[in-house]
Amino acid sequence: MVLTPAATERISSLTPTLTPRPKFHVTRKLVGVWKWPLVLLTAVYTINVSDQFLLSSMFPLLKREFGLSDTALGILSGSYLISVTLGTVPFGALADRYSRTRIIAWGTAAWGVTMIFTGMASGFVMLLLGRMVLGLWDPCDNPTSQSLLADYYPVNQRSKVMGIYQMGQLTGFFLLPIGGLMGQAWGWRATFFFFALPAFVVALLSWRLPEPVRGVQERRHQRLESDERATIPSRFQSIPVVEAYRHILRCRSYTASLVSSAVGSLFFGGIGVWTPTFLIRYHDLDIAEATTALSVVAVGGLVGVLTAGNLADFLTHSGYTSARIGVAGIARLISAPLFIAAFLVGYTPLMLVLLSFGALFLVAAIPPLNAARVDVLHPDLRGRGTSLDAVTQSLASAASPVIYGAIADASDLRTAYMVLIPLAALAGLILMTFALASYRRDEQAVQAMVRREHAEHMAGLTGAAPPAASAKAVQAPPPARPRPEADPAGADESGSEVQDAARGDPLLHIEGLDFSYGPIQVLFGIDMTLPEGGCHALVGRNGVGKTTLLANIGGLLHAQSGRMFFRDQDLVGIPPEQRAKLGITLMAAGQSMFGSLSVRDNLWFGAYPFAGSSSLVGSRLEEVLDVFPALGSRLDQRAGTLSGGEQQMVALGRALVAGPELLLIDELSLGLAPTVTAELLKVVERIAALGTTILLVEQSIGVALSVADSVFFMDRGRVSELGPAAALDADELTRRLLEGQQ
Amino acid sequence: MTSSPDLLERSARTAARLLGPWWNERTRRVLFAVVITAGFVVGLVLGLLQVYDREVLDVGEPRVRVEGLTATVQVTVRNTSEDVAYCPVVGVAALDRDGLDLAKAIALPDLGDARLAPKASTNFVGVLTGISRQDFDEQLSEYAAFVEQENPCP
Repeated sequence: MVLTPAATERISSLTPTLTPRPKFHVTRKLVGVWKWPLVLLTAVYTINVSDQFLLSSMFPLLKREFGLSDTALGILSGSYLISVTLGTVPFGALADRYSRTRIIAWGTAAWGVTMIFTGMASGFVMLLLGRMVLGLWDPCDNPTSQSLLADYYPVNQRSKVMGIYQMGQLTGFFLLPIGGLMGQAWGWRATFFFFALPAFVVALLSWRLPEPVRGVQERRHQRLESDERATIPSRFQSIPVVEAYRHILRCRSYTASLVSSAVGSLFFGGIGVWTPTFLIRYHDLDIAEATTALSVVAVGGLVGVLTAGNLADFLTHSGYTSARIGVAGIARLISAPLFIAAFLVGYTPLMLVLLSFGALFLVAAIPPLNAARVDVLHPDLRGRGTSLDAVTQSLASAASPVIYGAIADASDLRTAYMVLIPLAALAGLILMTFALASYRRDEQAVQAMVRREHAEHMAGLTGAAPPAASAKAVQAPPPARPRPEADPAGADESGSEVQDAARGDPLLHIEGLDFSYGPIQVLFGIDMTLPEGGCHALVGRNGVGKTTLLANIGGLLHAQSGRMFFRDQDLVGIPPEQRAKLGITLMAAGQSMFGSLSVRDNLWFGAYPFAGSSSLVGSRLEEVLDVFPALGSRLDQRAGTLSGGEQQMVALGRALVAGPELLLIDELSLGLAPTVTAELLKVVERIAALGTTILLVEQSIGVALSVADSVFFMDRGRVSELGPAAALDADELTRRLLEGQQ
Repeated sequence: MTSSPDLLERSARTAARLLGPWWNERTRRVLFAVVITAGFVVGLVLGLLQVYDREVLDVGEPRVRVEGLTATVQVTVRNTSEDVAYCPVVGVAALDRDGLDLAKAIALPDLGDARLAPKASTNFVGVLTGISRQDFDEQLSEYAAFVEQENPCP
């Protein structure tokens, strides 16, 4: 058959056009946000890190001037580390309680003053005092800045942000040679004086930074509307320190990441100290060559920091909700064999290449892990949580070189590496088992806490009773709500904010969704919020865009504009298979199943999200057969030979096997006898009662009203909420539907 | 929702009570501005003073000859003073990667005595011994020379 050009054009205009998904900006570091706070806080980090090794590079000069012994120099170094450890915890507590920008401003200014004081030292006692006080100010920035960054930048760009922030540490190390050169040229005092100057500048700029409200990004992420400058009270703002730490440590993914970092630090804390010796001892490099080689390896770390943050955010954006933990865990796992190979090979260039890649993966774990740690902590606990992690890592890093030395003395240095490198893999394994399993739950618990506090706050403002939602509501779907009683005021008052909060957390939120099939626009700025739990009907005439809307929610079609959130997850760009894993399942219209396959195989197809676990698939199948006992005896029968009602059961059963949180059902009653439809509706009610939220598209008003808790009306590509089904009159609704009124 | 104030809260309240009503946002801002300005100016001035305040005895780069485990270090010391003669005590050292001494010795003038007339230069030589083979190979980072005592000559 030959088609005329006109016919071809007509067909192509009717063919759905899959518009390209919005691209994730891998190369652009931050999209659409104010970058100045990140630049400034990274600069603060650089300055604070820069002095950590400054003193040791001044040792020869100090020795000559004050006649210090090596023991005295050791005391100077050790006292500084002890002060840093002691100062970290209080600064973490302060960061959760008071203005963080002011803490950084005062802390950095005090740091600068102490640097000048140290530069004016006239003897060992003043030097010691200066170093100890300096150590107390040093941790003013790290826990505070991470807490601030979490509130400055969107949740979905948090890994990237942490990656850029982490560069501050590496940049600080690169400043060390400059300090050495200044010391040689102008003396150690001038070095301390000049290093203090930028601290005053960044302190002043930090003072001028706006203080974001704690948790504001979590509220934006969940589209909770309120005054963003308003501080929403939480119970963590005033609890004692011990109770706060107890709560932090109860968060399983946080504790797992804490243990992982400590275990990892026992290995990589000693790398910087011992690797030059290894290169000298086993590769015949001289000291200058070994030190240079190590700085080349540090470049690998810089690459790792920048790429891992992007990768983790990209994967999260693509639907891998625990990608931050996954990337960190895998990076640590990969680093171990690379390090083992590096310290076994005899060919120096190959060793350095392997070492660089090992460092790349090792450091790559830091930004996503920092982001994940912030994700699972309540905004009012982040300072304390981050400080606890910093202390743990400091202690482990301090112990690491000693352990290397002890093993090397007992055997040899290579053996020390072979013994300690597996700790990197163990750190990754801890993340991949304990943290990965609980991250999503912990993160959602935090989001739920923020939602509840927001709802309580809003209810307090309006005088309404706060909702009884709890953090657990996110982990286990709530039972179906009882059918609402008829509202004498009618359906028109159902849209207020307080009512929204009181009737449950939004499961699906759609905003300004436009969709066109080629030149034909079908959806026009759809705004829709679907609460969690219950059955909700979407009614409308044939051809108004109901199926198109469901296909957009399910990911089969991609809107040209607009936004869509499933819980806190932005759905834009997420493919259908990932949406299924998130908990969105679409049951298409018209007995959509594979007629040539058996009932069992059809059901198996629905188990796609659990493809890796046959035991889980088996248990899901059993649950479905509990709901549809009639299918139990027909598992081996070809699905195409079943009756229409049974085929619809298979289609519904297949959707249920995936264990959806949101089940999209398109035209359940299409082509079925009323008695069969009635049977299926009972099943739908039962599914809703088990906790699955259902969005049911129906042309039949009677069917919709008989099963739905609330009703949405669609006409000419637009959706409006009509309110509780019990308050609606079927005849009036049918008339409006036929007339196309909203 | 609320609990009794912890140590941090109690400390903050006590501090606020002790400081009195004058401790407000305005005074905090003024104090911060003073600290920042004073800190920057003092740091800059002291730094510049250090840059221009040169040691009167200028010690040059050490030159080293190594034979076995013995290092001979030679350094030129110049008296930059216009009118004062110095009789300095000069030391040399071998430093490890952390800047700590592996070996240290007093350097003696290679010709004549240690008297340095105004604007004069003299070479000092020191011999460093006692460094182990392992330290020589793995730890020895650099050699340094320094003036232990300036000692204006009588």
